Amino acid sequence: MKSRKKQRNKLDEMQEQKLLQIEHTGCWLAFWGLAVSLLVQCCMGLEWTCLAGEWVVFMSLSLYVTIACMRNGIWDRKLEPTPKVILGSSAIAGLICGFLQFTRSYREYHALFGSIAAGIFMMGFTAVLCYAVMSIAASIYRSRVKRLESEEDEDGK
Amino acid sequence: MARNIAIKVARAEKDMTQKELAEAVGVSRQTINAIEQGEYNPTIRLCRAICRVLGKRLDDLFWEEE
Repeated sequence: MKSRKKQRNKLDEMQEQKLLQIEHTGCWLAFWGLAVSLLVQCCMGLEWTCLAGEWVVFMSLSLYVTIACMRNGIWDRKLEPTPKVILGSSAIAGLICGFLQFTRSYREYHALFGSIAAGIFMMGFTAVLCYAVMSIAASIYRSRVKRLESEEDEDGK
Repeated sequence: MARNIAIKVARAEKDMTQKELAEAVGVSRQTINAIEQGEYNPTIRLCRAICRVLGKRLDDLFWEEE
């Protein structure tokens, strides 16, 4: 049987860059689309089991991006992983999760103060958890960058 | 990015169309057009291929005066 040859790339370098740009935009559209869809469905009070598929895709995408960036010593285009940035990001994540918990709780139990308490608890818990995870990620990122920057040249210099 | 007039001139000297140059270096006509219009910054590999086909040096086609 004739062995199947690897199909030749029909794109030239500019078309390849354009395609990468299109895929990049598509990837982030899917990412934020999934994030918004998950948030809206959570606010609507859907069961977690109904969101399992979207959640798995969203988390796989997030994990892939995080691990790939870490391995290549990349954090962000504009931001550095300073405690201030980590604190700000954790606070935003905490606020979103707190609001989500508040709406879910209020929708289910119609108890305003109880829902506020649940929201505040979730906000604090998420913020602390995010801060811890991002601090660990930042330290891994720093050591990775250090290692990449100290790698020797081919001629051993 | 500024327009690359040098490629256009070199192409005219060789009496080549954008399509012919594109075929000679193995890219699409739109890529050659984008390079000439200054809309695309080619890789060094493609720059060398263009220079080879047009019989010019890198400096002649891709050097920009400050």
